[in-house]
Amino acid sequence: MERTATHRLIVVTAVMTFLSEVEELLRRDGLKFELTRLSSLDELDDGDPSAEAGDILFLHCDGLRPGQFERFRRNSSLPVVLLVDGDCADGLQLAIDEGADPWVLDLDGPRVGHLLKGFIQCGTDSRRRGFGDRDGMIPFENNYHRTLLDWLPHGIWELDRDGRIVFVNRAYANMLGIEPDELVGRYVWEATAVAEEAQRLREAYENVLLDEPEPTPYVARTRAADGRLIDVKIDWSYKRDRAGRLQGFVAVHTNITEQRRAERQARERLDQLAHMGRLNILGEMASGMAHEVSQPITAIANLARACRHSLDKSPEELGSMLAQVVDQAERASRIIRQLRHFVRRGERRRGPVDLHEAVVEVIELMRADHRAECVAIEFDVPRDLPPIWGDFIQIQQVICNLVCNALDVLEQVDGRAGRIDVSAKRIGDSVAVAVVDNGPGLSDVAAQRLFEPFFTTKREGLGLGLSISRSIVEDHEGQLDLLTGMDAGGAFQFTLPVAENAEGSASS
Amino acid sequence: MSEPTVFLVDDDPAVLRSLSALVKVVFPRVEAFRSAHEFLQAYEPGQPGCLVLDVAMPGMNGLELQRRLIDNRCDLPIIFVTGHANVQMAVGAMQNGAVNFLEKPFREHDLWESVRKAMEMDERNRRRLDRRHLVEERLASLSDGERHVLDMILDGKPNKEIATELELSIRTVEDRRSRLMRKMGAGSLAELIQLAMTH
Repeated sequence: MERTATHRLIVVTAVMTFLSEVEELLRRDGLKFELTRLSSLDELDDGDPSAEAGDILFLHCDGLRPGQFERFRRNSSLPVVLLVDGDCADGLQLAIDEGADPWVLDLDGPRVGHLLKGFIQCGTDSRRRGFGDRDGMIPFENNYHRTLLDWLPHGIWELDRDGRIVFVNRAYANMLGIEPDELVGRYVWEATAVAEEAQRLREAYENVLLDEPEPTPYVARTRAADGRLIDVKIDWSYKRDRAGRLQGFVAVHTNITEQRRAERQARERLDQLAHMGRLNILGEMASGMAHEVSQPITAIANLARACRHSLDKSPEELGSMLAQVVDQAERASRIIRQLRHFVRRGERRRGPVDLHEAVVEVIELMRADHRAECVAIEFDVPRDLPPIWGDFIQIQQVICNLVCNALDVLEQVDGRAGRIDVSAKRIGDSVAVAVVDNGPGLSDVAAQRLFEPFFTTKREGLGLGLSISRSIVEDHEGQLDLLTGMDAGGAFQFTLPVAENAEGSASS
Repeated sequence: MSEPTVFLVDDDPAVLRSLSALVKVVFPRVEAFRSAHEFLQAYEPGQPGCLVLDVAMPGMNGLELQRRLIDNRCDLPIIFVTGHANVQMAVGAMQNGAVNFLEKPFREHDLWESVRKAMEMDERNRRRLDRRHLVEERLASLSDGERHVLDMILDGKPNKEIATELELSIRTVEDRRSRLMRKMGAGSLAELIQLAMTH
């Protein structure tokens, strides 16, 4: 290749340091050149009569004003490479609108020197591209689209039919902190997913090949070169030839790590609040709970004392009493376990929730409440209800809260047998759970402000129960409401969507 | 008359069974009930014994049962047992005549001692009641004339004054007096007064 000629490189930039950077880059690559620095395109307003084949103008797009490039192009046919860095999008757009060929060099991108050299070689080697031959200049069309793709804030890749990456844009590579070259040619699951997810992604890919379903977004977890985990939403589609045969896939990626983090934080806050709410419920129930735990302990003490005075009895009689001791010890520890379970903090556990089980446990717990002494708590929850998807304890908390509120209302009513009915039934794709009491019902004011935080009709209430319950239900994509139009008494109902299938929310 | 029995009422079946086992060590006759209503249905008025009663129960609680028994003039002695004692509750129960108020879990000797005291109290009550019934029967057997004389004797009046007031001869008053002493089973004036006081 002919490399002896010295070329004139005109660099238009307002930034001083920028020039020395370009110079450094070029020198490092061993290029012979004569560098001219201009601070503004206006200095070339009269064109450049001394321009020769092989000369190239590098135009920094930052600060380009409307009309500037157009004026320059009227007088000069110098080939122009647009330089961008930082936030030059407006300048770049302006230059291209005013007729600049989309030769763009991103100075913030990696391997700038390499690309710069490429441009200069194209420009100086007439046999290659004719860049320097002003009449026969062939704009590198793909470059325009490539530039656009690179400058999009979304990551983009294209796969062949086998799942190998044939193209990734700069945004995608930047997101992962690696070079596009390092990704091209690799299978997408090996290249982009974290180890634990590679298999899932690959299976999803193979299923897509098999069934060619309607594309739905896929969420994948990726690890960047520096070790950061990134959650990416992949909006993908098929790429087909004119005959409709599958050629491969294209996809746009949205980095949802921040969004996910915000969602996670909101959930964590709700979990903390829910935990507080449970502690509060437990506080209200404390004396009843203490009673519930002391019952088996009393039985154990009684039985053990009876045994001590019955050592002359038959082994069968003593054995039967000791068996009861064991039963009661287990009963006590079961209650304590349930309590601990109920107030546990920590991460959410989502899974299929059997409402029958949830309601039975809550009511068992609530019947121990001293407020429940004179109240009949009944329930009608079919065993064959479909499971809902959610956090077992939080669902229990909502039921518990509603029953607690009803108990409080009934406690203030004299001379009538209190009754609370908990029922559940399926309505379409949801399950509705209702808690109804036979108390005096709510005043209009109370009904309106019911779900406001810190609104309470109780002397010792915090007023957070219902608002927490509503947040929990909404977090489960359900709804919690006061039922109106009941003859008397208070009635609340919440609905929760039925779990779609055994895998639940793990949709792909 | 049936044997004295310890009646137990507690809504918790395990506690009830264990209580039963503990009481049986000393008092073999025990009957256990899951609720106040069950007890009221099964209990025959007049059955001797005592009642060991849980305070906190769904439906009718222990204190309500105590009130019901008092209203029915049933003085079966009651020992309360409770998981969460509350001073006010205990005072109320004791004022209404409970033998003791035991907090769970209690020592067996405290329970047995309370039951023993309650049984004694029941027996005393019963003896007093029997005596009262006897006196009532005897009083009922007196004629109106004898009754008048008895009332005046109890007022501390001598025969002569009674005779004057009732416009009877002293002789008639003396006859009635000896007849009523015989009917009441009193050997002396002191005995007669004691009997009448029982009433």
